[in-house]
Amino acid sequence: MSEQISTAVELTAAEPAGKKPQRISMPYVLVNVVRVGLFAALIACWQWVLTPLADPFYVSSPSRVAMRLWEWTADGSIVVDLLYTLESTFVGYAIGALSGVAVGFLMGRVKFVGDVLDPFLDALNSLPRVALGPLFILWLGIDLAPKILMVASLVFFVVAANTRAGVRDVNPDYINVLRIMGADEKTILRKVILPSAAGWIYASLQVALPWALIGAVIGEMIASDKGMGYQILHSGGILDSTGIFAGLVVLMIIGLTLTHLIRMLERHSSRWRPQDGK
Amino acid sequence: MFTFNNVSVEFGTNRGIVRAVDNVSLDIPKQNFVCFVGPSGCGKTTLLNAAAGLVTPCGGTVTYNGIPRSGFNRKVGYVTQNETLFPWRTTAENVRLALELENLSPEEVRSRVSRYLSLVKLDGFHDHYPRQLSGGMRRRAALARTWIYEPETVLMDEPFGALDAQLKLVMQKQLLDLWESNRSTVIFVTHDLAEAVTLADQVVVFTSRPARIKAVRKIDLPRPRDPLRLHFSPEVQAICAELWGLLEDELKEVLQ
Repeated sequence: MSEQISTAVELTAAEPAGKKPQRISMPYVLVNVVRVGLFAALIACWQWVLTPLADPFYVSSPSRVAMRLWEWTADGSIVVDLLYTLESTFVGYAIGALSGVAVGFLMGRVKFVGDVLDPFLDALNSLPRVALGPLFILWLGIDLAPKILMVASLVFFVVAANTRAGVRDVNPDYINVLRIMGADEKTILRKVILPSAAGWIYASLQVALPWALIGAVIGEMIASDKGMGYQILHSGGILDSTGIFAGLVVLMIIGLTLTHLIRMLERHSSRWRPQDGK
Repeated sequence: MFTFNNVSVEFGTNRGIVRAVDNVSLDIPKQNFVCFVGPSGCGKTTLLNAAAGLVTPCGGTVTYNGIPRSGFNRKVGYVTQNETLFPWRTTAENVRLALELENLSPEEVRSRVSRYLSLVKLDGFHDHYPRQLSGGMRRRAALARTWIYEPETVLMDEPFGALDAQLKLVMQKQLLDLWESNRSTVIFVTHDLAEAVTLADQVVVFTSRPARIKAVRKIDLPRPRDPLRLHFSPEVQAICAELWGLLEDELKEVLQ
C-alpha cells in the first residue's frame, strides 16, 4: 500500500536519527571544544594583551575580577545584592506575566474589549517605559516596590501583546470541533485556546525574561542602596572598573540561567512541535 | 431524523448578497446513509453546516427529530474537510476528546479509545502526534474521534477528498465497517459520483449555485457492501452514468 510506505518514511524522518550517533555527535563535540577554546582565548587576550597594553584602571583584568567576586562571596555582600535584584526580577516578572496573560486573553477573546483597548496597548507599548522610573520612585519610594513595578511594566506589554496575538491565531475549525461536541466556553478555553496559544505565550515569556532583569537593574540604578544595578553604579562612582566588570559577570550568569530555565520548560511543553534540525 | 424545510442560506460578501442554498426540502430517515453530490462550490457544504448548526438559514427550518436546530448537541457529529486533529495532542488524546466532556472512568475511556483506534486500524499509534502520521492515518483518526461518542447522526464533508484513489477505496471500506457496527444516520458530502453510489442509500444531486435539489436517487445495492469490489462493477458504473447525465447539464451552465 502506498500509504504504508509513506508512513514508514515519515516516521523515520520524525524520530530523532538514533542510527548514526557518530554523524550527529561529532560536530556537536567539535562545536563545544571550539566554544571553550574561544572563551579561554578571549579571557587570555584580556588578561595578557589588553590589560598590559591599556591601563587596568579602565579595563581591569580577569584575575582582578575573579578576586573581587571571591571577596564579595567571602564577605557575603553578593548574597544581599543578588537576592535584592532577583527578588524584584522574579516578583515583577510574575506579576507582569500573569497580568499580561490575563489581559492578552481578554483582548484576544472578547472582540469588544480588544477593539476598545488595542490602541491603548499599542500607545503604552511604544513608550520607552524605563523613562517611567522617576515617576515610580515618586509614587512608591526607593525600596523594592518601584523596581517591581518597573519590571512588571516591561514584562506585561511583551506578554500581553503576544498572548493577544496567540489567542487570535487559534484555528476556528479547532473551536468548532469542540462546539459540535457540545462543549461550553470554559472547556473550549481550556482545551483549545490555551494549548493553541501556549507556543506564543512561551515565546513571549522567554523574550520578557531579559527585560525583567533590565528593569530591575535600571530601577536600582535610578535610586537604590542595594542590588547588582546599584553595585555597578556605585563602582562607577568610585572609578572602580573591576567592580563594574564583576557586577556584569554576575548579571550575565543570572540572565543565562534564567533563559535556560525557560527554554527547558518550553521544550517540555511543545514536544508535539517538530524540533528543527532533527 | 433530519428534516430540511424550505431551507435557504445567504452570505453577505463585498460584492453583495450571495444565495448559497435555495429552498431545499428534504427528509433524511434514521439510520440512512445519504450522499450529497453537486458541482464544486454549489453550496452542499453550506447546507451541511446548516445541519450542524454552524450556519443559520435565512429562510426555512432545519429540524432534528422534530426539534428546530439551535446551538449544538452531542447527537450530531461532524467530520470536516479540513484537518482538525489538534497538533498538540497524541492520536489517543485526540480520539478521546469528546469523552473528556463526560464523566467517565479512566478505564472506560481507555478501553473505548483502544476499541475505536483498532476499528480504524490505528493500534500501535496511540502515542504518535498528528505530524507523525500519514494523511490517511490522520483521516482515520478524525473518523474515530467523531465516532467514539456514538452520535446518532454523523455529518461528513468530503472527508476523503484529499486522498489518492486507492487509499480512498480503503477508507470507504473502513467507513462502511464502522457504520455497519452502529448504523448511525450519515450525511456525506462528496463530488465523487462513484463514492456516493458505493456508500449511499440515497444520493441527492444538487444544482450549481445556489444549491437546489435536482434529483434524489435511491441506491438499492445489497449491504454489507465492499467498496473495493463495487467501485468498478457494472451496476455502480451504470448508476454513475445516469447521475453524470444529471450533473453534466449543471456543469454546462457553470461553463457558459
